[in-house]
Amino acid sequence: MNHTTTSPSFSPSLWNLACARLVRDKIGMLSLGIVLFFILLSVGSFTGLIAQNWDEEIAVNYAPPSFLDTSKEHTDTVSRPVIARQQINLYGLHDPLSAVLNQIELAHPQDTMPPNDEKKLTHLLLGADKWGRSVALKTIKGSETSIMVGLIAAIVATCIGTVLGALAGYFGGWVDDLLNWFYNVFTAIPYLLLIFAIAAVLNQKGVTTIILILGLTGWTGVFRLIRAEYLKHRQREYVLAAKAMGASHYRRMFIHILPNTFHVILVQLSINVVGFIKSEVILSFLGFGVPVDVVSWGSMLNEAQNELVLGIWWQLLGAGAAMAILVTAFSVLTDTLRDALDPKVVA
Amino acid sequence: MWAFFIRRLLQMIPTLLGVILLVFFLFNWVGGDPAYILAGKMASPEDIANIRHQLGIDQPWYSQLWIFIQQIVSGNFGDSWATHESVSHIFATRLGPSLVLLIPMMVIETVSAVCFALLVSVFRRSILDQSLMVLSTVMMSISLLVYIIVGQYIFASWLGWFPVKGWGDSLWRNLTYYAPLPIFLGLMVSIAPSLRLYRTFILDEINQDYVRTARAKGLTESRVLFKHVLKNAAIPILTNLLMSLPGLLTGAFLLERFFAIPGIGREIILAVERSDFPIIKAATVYVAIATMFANLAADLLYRYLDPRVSLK
Amino acid sequence: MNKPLLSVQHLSLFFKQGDTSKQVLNDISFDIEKGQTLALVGESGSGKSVTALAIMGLLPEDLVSIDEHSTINWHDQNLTQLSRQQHRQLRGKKIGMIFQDPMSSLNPVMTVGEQLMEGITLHLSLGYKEARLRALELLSEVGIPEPNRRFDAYPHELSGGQQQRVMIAMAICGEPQLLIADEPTTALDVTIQRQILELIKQLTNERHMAVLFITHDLALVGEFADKVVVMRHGSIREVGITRTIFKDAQDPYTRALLLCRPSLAHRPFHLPVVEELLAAPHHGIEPQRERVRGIGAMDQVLMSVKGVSKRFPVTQGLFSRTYFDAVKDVSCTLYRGKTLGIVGESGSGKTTLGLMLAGIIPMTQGHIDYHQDLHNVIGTAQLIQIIFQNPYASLNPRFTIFQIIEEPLLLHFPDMTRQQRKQEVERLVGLVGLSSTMLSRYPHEFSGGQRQRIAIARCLALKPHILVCDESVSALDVSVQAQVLNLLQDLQDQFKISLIFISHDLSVVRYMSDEIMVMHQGRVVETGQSDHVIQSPQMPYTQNLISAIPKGYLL
Repeated sequence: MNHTTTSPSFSPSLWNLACARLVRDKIGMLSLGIVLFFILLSVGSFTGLIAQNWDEEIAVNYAPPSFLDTSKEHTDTVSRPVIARQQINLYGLHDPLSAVLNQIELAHPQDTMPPNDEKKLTHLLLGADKWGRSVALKTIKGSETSIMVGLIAAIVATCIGTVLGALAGYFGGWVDDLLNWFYNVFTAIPYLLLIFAIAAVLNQKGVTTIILILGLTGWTGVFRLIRAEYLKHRQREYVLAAKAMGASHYRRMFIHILPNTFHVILVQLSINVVGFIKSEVILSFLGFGVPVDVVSWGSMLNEAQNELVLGIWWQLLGAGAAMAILVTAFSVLTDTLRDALDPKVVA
Repeated sequence: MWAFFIRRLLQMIPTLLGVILLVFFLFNWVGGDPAYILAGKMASPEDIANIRHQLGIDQPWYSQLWIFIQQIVSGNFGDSWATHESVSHIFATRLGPSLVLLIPMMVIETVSAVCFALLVSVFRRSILDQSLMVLSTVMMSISLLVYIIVGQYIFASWLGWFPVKGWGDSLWRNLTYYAPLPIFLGLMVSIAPSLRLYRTFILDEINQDYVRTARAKGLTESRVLFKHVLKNAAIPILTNLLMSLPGLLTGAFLLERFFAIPGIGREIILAVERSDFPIIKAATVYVAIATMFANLAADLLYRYLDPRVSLK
Repeated sequence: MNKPLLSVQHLSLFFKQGDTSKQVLNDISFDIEKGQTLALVGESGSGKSVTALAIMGLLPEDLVSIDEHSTINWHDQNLTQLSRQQHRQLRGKKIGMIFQDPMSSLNPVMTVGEQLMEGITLHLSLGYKEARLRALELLSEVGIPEPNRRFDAYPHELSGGQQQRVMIAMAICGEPQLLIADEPTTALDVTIQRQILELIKQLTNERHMAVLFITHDLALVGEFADKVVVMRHGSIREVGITRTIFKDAQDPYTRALLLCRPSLAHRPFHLPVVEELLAAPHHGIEPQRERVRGIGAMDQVLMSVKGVSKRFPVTQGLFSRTYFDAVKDVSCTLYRGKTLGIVGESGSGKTTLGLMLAGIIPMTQGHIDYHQDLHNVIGTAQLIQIIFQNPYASLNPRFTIFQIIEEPLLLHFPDMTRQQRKQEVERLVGLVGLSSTMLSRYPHEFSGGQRQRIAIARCLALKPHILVCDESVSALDVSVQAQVLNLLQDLQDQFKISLIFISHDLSVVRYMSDEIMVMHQGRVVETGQSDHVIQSPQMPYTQNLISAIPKGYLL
């Protein structure tokens, strides 16, 4: 470590040093930028600043992306939807939502099948879906759902894991036995199976429900690591010294040890966000996640699955690429954080 | 050795009780009254009462818990609410396809992940290492759903190299005709995390003092790697592998569903869609038991492989 | 004179750090003759281990660059120019090496025999049977009892001393002409250290093997090195034959290394420190008056410990438990303003006893009586405080120095205003010899010695009557160790604090203590006035311990 900062006025804390290392890592900063961009998008979408009118049917059904602007394809796509829907049904792929959609369509044919003579756009930035809604706006709306679910559920899970892990690791004894038992019970059941089981019994779809499911089942990884950190740190000499000078349990647990585990917590939070976004997409895809009227990358992929055989790939591209970019950026950011926050680098 | 084994077995009892209580709590409290699900929309109160009596849920909770425990011990979870097929028969017939799909996948995954991990450990900090790590991060980040949707479309529908979906009766035909595409697509997401994990295991060992000693003896790099490093890194790799075995029993949810493979994973998803509680309950409890035994086996293996941990 | 066996000339070496590089070795030159023992002595960061690894070719090539004018000549070869393959063929066969920590240096999942046979089959090209015989011969040569049984043992089943013997057997199995020993005894107890040194000495005589012996402890090499090279901060300070180095060192740093360490013979009022010696290189420092230590009839008993024990349960078999007695029936007394030294090897229970006395872990049995003056502080942090061994772990890395020293004030003097606390913290920092401009910094910016001062300041904030020092200077370099010992002496003189000084190092304990208690396997072996225990030890264990201490250069 170089001692360029020898002026007595400023001394970098471990956080300052970690941030400095983070800033130096160009790929890490790029991924941080991408993650922040997505978070801004979803906040913007949540507050209604962007993508507010995502459900307006502004284009013709299955309008292709604007970079495919040839008049021949134009006519193709306009005439396609009627056949398309029959094909979907004939094809018989397992679409849990198709029954619901059919019901809606039968009940309100004018909503979903607008007359073709209305003035509609024939091309959109990222194309349009079955009802002529913009795929680009749907993707933004989908990021809102996925990021909100991932972020909030990860915060819930990380908080539960941290508090329980801190209690178990710090106190040991029967507290540890009890919480470890709890941990063993939750980890004995495979993660996805547990989520499916809870989704099956709750049998009600909603963003809150899925946040609760993911948050209440996802704490185990954080618990294990934080418990191990506390086991290690409670024997460290600085904690023993605090004990010798009469610091309370609360003070030792939260003022002394907790800041020294922040790097683990932050990395785990980041890992959980990635994991939960993936889980949410799978659950929504299978129809156990968010309700029909909420757009999510999972439900977009579900629609895209049937469209692909018709050669309509833009919804798949929108949702798939958005998710891949965000998750890659988040994973790279996790790795960078892990390296930058590693206390061993300083010591 | 035996004392350790028996003590570990005894330690499993509270965990098992916990799992039973958790599942019981979920399905008998949170799940609401299954009679309404079973009886359909137009049920009369008599029908409901009848079903409640049949299921035993008109009895106090402790009798219900007792029934549940009896079901677990006897292995008889009754019939599926949706198809009226017996639950044990469903599991017996669905296990085969899941294993045909997952065992080759697990073998290929482990072998290739270990090979790649050794490769990148030898060339660590090089361009090869860094580019493989970036590639694996990207591969991990693309959703399995996207792999399946795109892969099924390109390789099956468009190119026609593989069947779009389906399953036969002959093991050989399943293995060579139906299984390869799902196995390949599954590997796309599963190799990368294993590779990264095994790489850290191997790098942890490479940085140990005994590796320096082995080099000081004048051993060749390959002997240092294969004899000294791999022998130590094999301990966490093997225990990790053993602990992932119960995953075989839940099948591969998405792959089985997309490729219409009649395995356990697909059955569980169907059960969740139909609120078919007996199947979900049975799957949860049995997989939990299998997981506990796998953990025990991993513990024993660990103690067997690592001479530092004595079997007390 | 013949050509030297190994000749290091103008070795300069850099560690690459991103785009920049840091010089670790600066123009190092020395020769080793055939059969000669050369000691490379220096404190941490002196570059002594890096030099050895450069000779062995064990430095990671992508992180290290060697200056192109550097040469390491071995016979006709320049080792800095060798390919990896050529360098490898030299290792084990021509140059053997042993390391500091034998436990981690042996492969934990291979038996002793397997690891030994590996080298033998590689270097001597023998068949399995002959190689096995050779391995057994080597094991008995290095003094492993029952080699037939130990052959199939795993490293963790051997004691630390035996592990290092196995390492030596592995290093010499290819009949090398040079053995590099990198701090081979630092992780071992003093009695084991002596045995390992004897073994190395005996093997070099029998085999006419040259030895490059690397250590931080100059006194250690006086008895058997032919030549000494003293290094500091990557440069050579002095090269000379051992006798000259010990009797008439030219370099003030070499003299400092000799004088900073407390010896069993003298107890100067203050230990000399490196800075003083470096500042006055020509005229040596004036002799100091001796400090008189010991318990007199007038001394007041402050604390008397009666029959203290600590036992830990050990699970065994299915349900049965056995117990391990870490400390068994220990009684001792501490006098006001005096120092009780507790000395013992690893596993003697001295640290457990210290933690119990400091109230950090509960006692299983026994009780402690305090002088009536202390009755109002019993059970509070003002009675007793403790300073730990590892200066890197004893300060919370997320706190500034101010926060660290302020904490006890916050906890115990809630009426103090922020201004008063600030003044008090500044006073305390001054007391331990640090500047108050450092208060806003974090521990990672400080050296080990400075951190130990901060830890002392934190304890002093509570004005404790008793201070436990648990191996508090063991992790520090000799030159820094002297400064911290002087500080503790000063504080005791000034505030009449009673010290409980725990260490494995008999010389340091003798320097600091009025009374010494020797512990072995949880029990007290011997207690007495410190000079008395050192000069005429009563128990064989103590006698053995004292005779194992390196004596420096003897004629």
